[in-house]
Amino acid sequence: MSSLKDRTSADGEPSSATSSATSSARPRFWRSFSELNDKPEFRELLEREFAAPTEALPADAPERRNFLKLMGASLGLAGVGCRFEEDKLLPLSRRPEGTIPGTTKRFATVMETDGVGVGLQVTSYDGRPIKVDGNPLHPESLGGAGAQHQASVLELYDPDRSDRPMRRGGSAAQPSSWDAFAEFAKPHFARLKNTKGYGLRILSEATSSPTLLALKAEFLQVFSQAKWTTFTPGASDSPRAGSALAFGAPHRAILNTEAARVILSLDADLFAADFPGHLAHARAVARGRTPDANMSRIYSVECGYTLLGGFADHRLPLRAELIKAFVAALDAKVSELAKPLSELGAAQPVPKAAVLAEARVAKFLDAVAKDLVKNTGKSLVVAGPSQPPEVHALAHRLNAVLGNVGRTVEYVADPLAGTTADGPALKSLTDELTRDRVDTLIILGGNPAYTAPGDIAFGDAIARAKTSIHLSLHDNETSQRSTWHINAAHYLESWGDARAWDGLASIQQPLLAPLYGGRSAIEFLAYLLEKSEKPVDLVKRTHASLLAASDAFRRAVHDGFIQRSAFERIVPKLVVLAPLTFSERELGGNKLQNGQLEVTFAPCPKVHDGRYANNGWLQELPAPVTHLSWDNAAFISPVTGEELGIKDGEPCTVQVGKNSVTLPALWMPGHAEGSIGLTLGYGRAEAGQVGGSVRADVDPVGANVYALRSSTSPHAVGGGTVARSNKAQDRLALTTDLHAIDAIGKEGIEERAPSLLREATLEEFRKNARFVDERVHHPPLLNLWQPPVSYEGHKWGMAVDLNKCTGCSACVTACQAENNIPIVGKVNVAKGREMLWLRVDRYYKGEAADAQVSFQPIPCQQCENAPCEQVCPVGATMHSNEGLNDMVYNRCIGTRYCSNNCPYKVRRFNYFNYNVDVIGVTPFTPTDDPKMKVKAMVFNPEVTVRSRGVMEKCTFCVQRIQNAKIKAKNAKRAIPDGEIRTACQETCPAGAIVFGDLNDDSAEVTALAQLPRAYALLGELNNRPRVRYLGRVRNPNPELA
Amino acid sequence: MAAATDINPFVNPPAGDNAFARITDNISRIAEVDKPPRAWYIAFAAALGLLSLFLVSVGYLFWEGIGIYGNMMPVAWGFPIVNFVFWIGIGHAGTLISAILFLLRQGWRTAINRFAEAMTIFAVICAGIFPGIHIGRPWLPYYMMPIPNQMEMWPQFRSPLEWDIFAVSTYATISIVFWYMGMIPDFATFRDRATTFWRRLAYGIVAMGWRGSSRQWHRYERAYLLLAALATPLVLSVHSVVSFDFATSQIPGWHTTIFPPYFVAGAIFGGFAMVVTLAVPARQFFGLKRIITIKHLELMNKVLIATGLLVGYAYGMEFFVAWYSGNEYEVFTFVNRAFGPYAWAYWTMITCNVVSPQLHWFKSVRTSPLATLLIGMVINVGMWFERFVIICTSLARDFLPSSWGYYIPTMWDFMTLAGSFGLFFTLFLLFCRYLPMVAMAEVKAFHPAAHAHAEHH
Amino acid sequence: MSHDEKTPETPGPAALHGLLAEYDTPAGILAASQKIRDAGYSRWDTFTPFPVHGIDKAMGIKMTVLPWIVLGAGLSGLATAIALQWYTNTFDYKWLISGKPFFSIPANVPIMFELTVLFAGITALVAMLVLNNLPLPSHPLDFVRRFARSTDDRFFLLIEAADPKFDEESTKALLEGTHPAAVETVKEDNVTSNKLPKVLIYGVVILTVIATVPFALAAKARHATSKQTRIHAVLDMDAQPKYKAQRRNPVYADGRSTRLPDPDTVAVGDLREDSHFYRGKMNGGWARTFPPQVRLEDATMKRGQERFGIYCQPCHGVGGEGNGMVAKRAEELQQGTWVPPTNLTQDYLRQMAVGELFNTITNGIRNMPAYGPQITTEDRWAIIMYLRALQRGHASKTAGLPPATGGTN
Repeated sequence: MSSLKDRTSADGEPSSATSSATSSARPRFWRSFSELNDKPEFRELLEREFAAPTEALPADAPERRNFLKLMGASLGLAGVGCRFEEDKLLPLSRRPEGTIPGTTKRFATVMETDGVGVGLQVTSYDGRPIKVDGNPLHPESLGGAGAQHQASVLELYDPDRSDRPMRRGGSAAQPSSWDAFAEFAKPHFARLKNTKGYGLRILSEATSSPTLLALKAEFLQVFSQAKWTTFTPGASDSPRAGSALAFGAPHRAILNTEAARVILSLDADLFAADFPGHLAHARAVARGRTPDANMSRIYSVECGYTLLGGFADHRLPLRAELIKAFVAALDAKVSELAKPLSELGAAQPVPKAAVLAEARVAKFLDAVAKDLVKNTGKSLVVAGPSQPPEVHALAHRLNAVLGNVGRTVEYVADPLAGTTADGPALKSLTDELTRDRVDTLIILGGNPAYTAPGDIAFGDAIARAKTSIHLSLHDNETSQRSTWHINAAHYLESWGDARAWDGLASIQQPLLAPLYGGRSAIEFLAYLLEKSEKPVDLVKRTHASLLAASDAFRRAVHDGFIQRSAFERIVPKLVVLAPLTFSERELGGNKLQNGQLEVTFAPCPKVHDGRYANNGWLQELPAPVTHLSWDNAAFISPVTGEELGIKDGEPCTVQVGKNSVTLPALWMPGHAEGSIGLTLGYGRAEAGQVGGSVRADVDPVGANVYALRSSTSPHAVGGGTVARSNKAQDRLALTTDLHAIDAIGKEGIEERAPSLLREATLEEFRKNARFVDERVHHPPLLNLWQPPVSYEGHKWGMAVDLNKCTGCSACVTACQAENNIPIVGKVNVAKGREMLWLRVDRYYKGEAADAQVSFQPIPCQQCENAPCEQVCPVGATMHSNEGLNDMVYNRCIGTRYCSNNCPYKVRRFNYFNYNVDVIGVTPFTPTDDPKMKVKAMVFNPEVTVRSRGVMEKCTFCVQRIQNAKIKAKNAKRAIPDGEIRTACQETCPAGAIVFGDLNDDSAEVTALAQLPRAYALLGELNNRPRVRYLGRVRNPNPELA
Repeated sequence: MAAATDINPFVNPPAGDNAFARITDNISRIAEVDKPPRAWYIAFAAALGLLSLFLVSVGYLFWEGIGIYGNMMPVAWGFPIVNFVFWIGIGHAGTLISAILFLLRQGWRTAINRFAEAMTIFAVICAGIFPGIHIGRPWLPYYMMPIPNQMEMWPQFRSPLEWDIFAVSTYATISIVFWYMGMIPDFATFRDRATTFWRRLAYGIVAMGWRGSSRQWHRYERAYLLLAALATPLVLSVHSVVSFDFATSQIPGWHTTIFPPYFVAGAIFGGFAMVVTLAVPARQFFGLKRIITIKHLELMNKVLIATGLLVGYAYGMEFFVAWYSGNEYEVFTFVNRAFGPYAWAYWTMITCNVVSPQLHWFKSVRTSPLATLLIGMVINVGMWFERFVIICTSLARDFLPSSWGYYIPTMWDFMTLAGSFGLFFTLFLLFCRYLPMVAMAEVKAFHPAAHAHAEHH
Repeated sequence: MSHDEKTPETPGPAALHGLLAEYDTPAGILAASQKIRDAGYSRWDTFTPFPVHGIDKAMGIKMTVLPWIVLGAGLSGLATAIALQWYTNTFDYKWLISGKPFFSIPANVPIMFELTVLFAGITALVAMLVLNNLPLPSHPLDFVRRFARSTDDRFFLLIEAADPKFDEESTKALLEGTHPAAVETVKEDNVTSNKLPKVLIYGVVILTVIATVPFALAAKARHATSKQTRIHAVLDMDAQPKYKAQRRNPVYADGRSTRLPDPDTVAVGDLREDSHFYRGKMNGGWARTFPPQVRLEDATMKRGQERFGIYCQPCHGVGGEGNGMVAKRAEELQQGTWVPPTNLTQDYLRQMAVGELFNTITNGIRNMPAYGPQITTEDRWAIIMYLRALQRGHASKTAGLPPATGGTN
């Protein structure tokens, strides 16, 4: 039956008999395939095209066996073989108002990571989510989306997701069912209720979901003896503790980066995927980078190379442990210059740190201090999550001293006060477990058995609980140690909510019925509390106070958030800080002492704390800055590498205490000396077919470094050592400098880099706005002939502002999602066969110790005189009269000549059939794996899925162009500028990419392309590319120049 | 048939005793003996072994996809195209010797032209296979042919690859025509010497009833002359066209006007090297020492010195032009070639192609069959590396450093390369066994006995 | 060759074909040839193992036309090349390639050259054979034993009996005057049958038949109709794993790839807050006026008429009297269950609030299906506006309009 009646009755129309009938039928829309069993009528149901969706399907327990039968049946019907596959149309007999088959709709929702919700807009095609983008109205996103958000849709269709509860007695694991769990849970929790939940422990990650928190409160009422612990390996407690130090109570800093003219980052990567509000910051900071009078200036004092560090005008590489001394000295200096009000208390005494004596540091500190003071009220000091609380406290103090509070930084009370992200809480829980104080342990999400620091044997401790229940998307390491694994629902499958960093309550609406019949944490808690309400009503009730008006909820769902639900901004009073105490290491110098290195831990920009390890898009994405895919490595400064004899790309063993891990070393120019940067989230034992699985005998991706982490100092620890290892290791899958570049190569790069990525300082730019033309000298570019077409009508072009690009690589994943780009795997990436249509080139400048980095996204340049076209013998690539360099897949025979002749090397070739698992090996042996049919749901139906032996490349998202043209034609109107947005442009948090019609004088792209700093990459070849790059302008401090 | 023999004139023809007869006998016997020398069997077995290797690797290639080779981005052309250019190069000496030397009235060519032509054809066959198998969808090469179809899809005639299709197929056809035409009189000889019915039938058919009438000879020589005149520019054009694959592109190291002459010189160089490599064992095992004399070897070695110097000049010129152009990308490419990661390949090429032929300045070397053979082989290796250097080093590091790479061939690459030699030698050995290895009629025509009378008149 | 088909029984006496003289050296044959030429014979020839230098002159052979034939072939090759490239890339299917002109000779030169050579080369061989009257399976000389050495080391001269000057004695004397190694009479070949050997005929026939089979099959396949889809060995990109609109997706029980959204979700732009416009309701009751978005103007009215024609007319009829084709047909068929469509011009419908009409169109009524999914909101209002016009048209016969319907603005 259709949901039409339901909609109308929801709108308050006197509901008729039919509508009441449908309301009882409604849940049936939400059957997932795993809830099927094979009634004889099922087969003919398949063939009956006009059967109502899932009609006449009993709601029994899932049975995989039946599921497979069903698949067999349906495949049989599909009639595969050496003949064309026969495909039937199966339209809905009645579709809801306003849904047109083959068109897309967008739904606002929210994705929460580590307690911060990011508002998103998800594109749905015929009711299936296929693409994720930012929600322009949401303060956390402003329309941008990160790689992890983009890739979340792949996670949804991950065939390795667990499709049913699992019960584990001892070691044996039996597939179970929700009913079986219900059977167990009812008496079990009834008993626990009587004992007020004595011996009941709940472990969850930090969450901001008001509904979940409400349920939590209720749960802790019902089970008053129970204890709820939070552990968030990807987050840090330092900001909370730091603000508590500074203000007496934990607060959250809300940064207004757009207002800041001078930004000093203390190891804080504003653009990193794990930094709250990174999308909004990227947009805001980028806006301030237009080279004009009030162009912002950015200083970054950091250990490893961060995105902000690459963006900054000045970067000072310091070991993480030295930053404390630096900021103390800075406080002294700034206070001296700025003369703060007495109530802010005395400044810190200048610590006797060797590093401060170093000329480079002293000069930097001096310049920064002056610049900050000069921009009082327009400056911003921000400390990174990996820094100790004292640094955060001093950052708060500095902002107060500089009068930034209320201008560039505001505060709200910390909603998660009391909860902890780091180890201590987990440690006490583990102790309880080992002392057998725990009867029932519920783990909501997360994977603590894997993410627990080395000094907490949580994994083993789980077994000590009589009953342990793990709710999770995958049957992972933790699940395998629990007595029960409960398959969770994906955030795109369930109702929920979350708060943005500033507290804005955002609604999470489902895009699809739970594929595997899983349940969200909210549903699960509600279930344990024996609530009958539907999840949507739970959410509605939580926000009832804010949603008084009749259709206020609809409005909130529509927008994705509830207006005016953010926390109240307050100006907390600064408490006077006592002089800090420094350890010996913290007072050390920049040069490393007696081989004792500092080891830092950071969540991976791709797989975060390891939760996305099974996500092929993220694994294959070349990590920002490092360009390393399918692996993690020990990042080390070339200087230190030389000193310790650790070779670039070769395996090394990092030791902290008695724990050691062997992984490849990677020389990172600009990495602080004497420090080793390790990335969390790799070496998963039970991630799946992609991320590694012992069960399935798939090697894990990368090395697990959690063992080196300690609960007391989870972000940086001193006294580590590193030694060369002769452990066999296959080549790193780097997408840049795949092979160590020899001296000649280095010279060559240094020689040509300035003409490829054209830079100037603000001073130079003021003197000569056309500086980009100075970088290359070539004769006038004349054609031998008149071009046969003069591009009237549309003339598509793109402009990329190198001043705005942060190098975050979200665009790369967005492109992969939009264009059905295959995943080729580590081996092929290591061979140089990655398929990514869009890549972000990276250039280092200056000497290895303190190198500057710049990024340059490279899509197909859509040359008007495209070199690729003239060499194709079959005309598989030719030019459209709108100036697009079209690729005709069906015509391509794969000579690969076009790629050879492409100066930009943006063409990608299917060396194998990379979609073999979803298509089948040959026409005669199609895939019969049902899970692959799920996997195939992620494909964008608007884009051909390429097969073996054809060339492909960026098309400027031609499918979007065509759709827009069709729409405009039907409506008899022109295409307004901005209606067509390429996938990369749409997702770019910084707004660095602009696409449009160069014939449209009012178009933004036209304006940008005419800017004096616009240039064509390799334009001297007279290919006439349609992409224009806006030369990068840095704004260095004259004192440091 | 027994009854027929008494009136059948062809059984046991009266044996000749003069110079002409000796020539006839000498050459015909190779194809007439029941058992060829043991060396032939050994060689043939080895060749068949390699051939099977070829079939296996190509079969696997079709099943799995081009990914089994080392090709990657940016080096999208690897071994297959290197082999293609290599074999095409080999395929030049034959027609060149037959055509150009014929036009230049070089009598000594008659001793070697026949199997040089055979070699050409077999080399071109090997060459033709590679572009076909290396494409991503090897079941669709017919897309490159101008076949009328309902989609109105045609080849794109601006593509040098399309030119290749025409150039190589034309070259193969004309070479075969040239070769066959040359063999007609010799087939007639075989036919007339045939002692068994099947030999007579087979050679009779291919001889087309040639009876050596002077009126036929007259037209025959005309046609042969014309073919030679056509084949000469064709030879030069083919490798020029192959060189266009690179010269018309935009990649530094490829985008060079010197390529056509440079490639042709290289082809002749490599082709002659292959001829000597084959001639030495051939004269050894088939007792042709009196026909393919040391003098012949020496002459060919002289050609090797000349063409070797040409090639060396081209190598030098490339560097000069790169430097003179002042184009940083061009300069880098060549410096990178000689001193970058591929230096080993570059210097192998120089040693084999420029240094080794210089040994032929010594008469003792160039008149020694063994030295001739060894140097010939070395040069073949060098010429293969020349193509490797041109293709791989230029692609591996072009304009944008971000896409630089390093090409590493796989075992399948090597299997296919070795296999192609198997194909070549299988065909060549079959040729030695069943076809006239030396152009008898021509040798006779240039024999002193044929000219003695001319002085009389 | 002919002698293979010889029959054992000895033939009758054969006519004389000519006289054959044999020489040991090229010099001998040259001298002889000059003699014979000077003697004015026309039907004679010499046979040598290799082209003897100077024999053309000695025999007085005229220059052959072959070069001209080859030249013609070459030129036609050139023409073909130009025509092919122009037709395919410039005329039949215009390529826009690297911003180059549609037709430019330089790019076409290589193929022009190749085809020229190809045509000329093949012609050279073929023309040579044809002019030499080859292949020639059988010849009287084949029966002369010594003649076998003509391809080895001996030189022969034949004067045919057919020559006008031929006289067995004198000619023989003339030949013997040229110091031949031997002279011998050649008999006509009356052994070789003039018919083609059977083996050959059968061979050709069988091969032809076999060769036609594939074409026959193809032809049949083209004209026969089949329930099965086309055979398709290499699927390439025809096997698309993606799910296009309304396709089968075996993952779901109902086999549909199209999924229904959760009724509580709201797509961007689907808020539909304006109850008047989207649901035809105003503060609880049915709206009696058109929403402001719908303006009373020609365009709207025309649109309404068009949509009415598409969606309503089939049942309700052109004038809305409920006498559409579907209704008529149904009545003819005497469908028991058939509920005739309403006459839209009835009074109560004239009174009915526009909002209620809108709701009826949107959600359907009795056996009229819901048109909400099919007709956009604007169009539904336009239809109602047109309906009002229809109703007025009818009403105008019976004067006096109900005040409620006046407020269409």
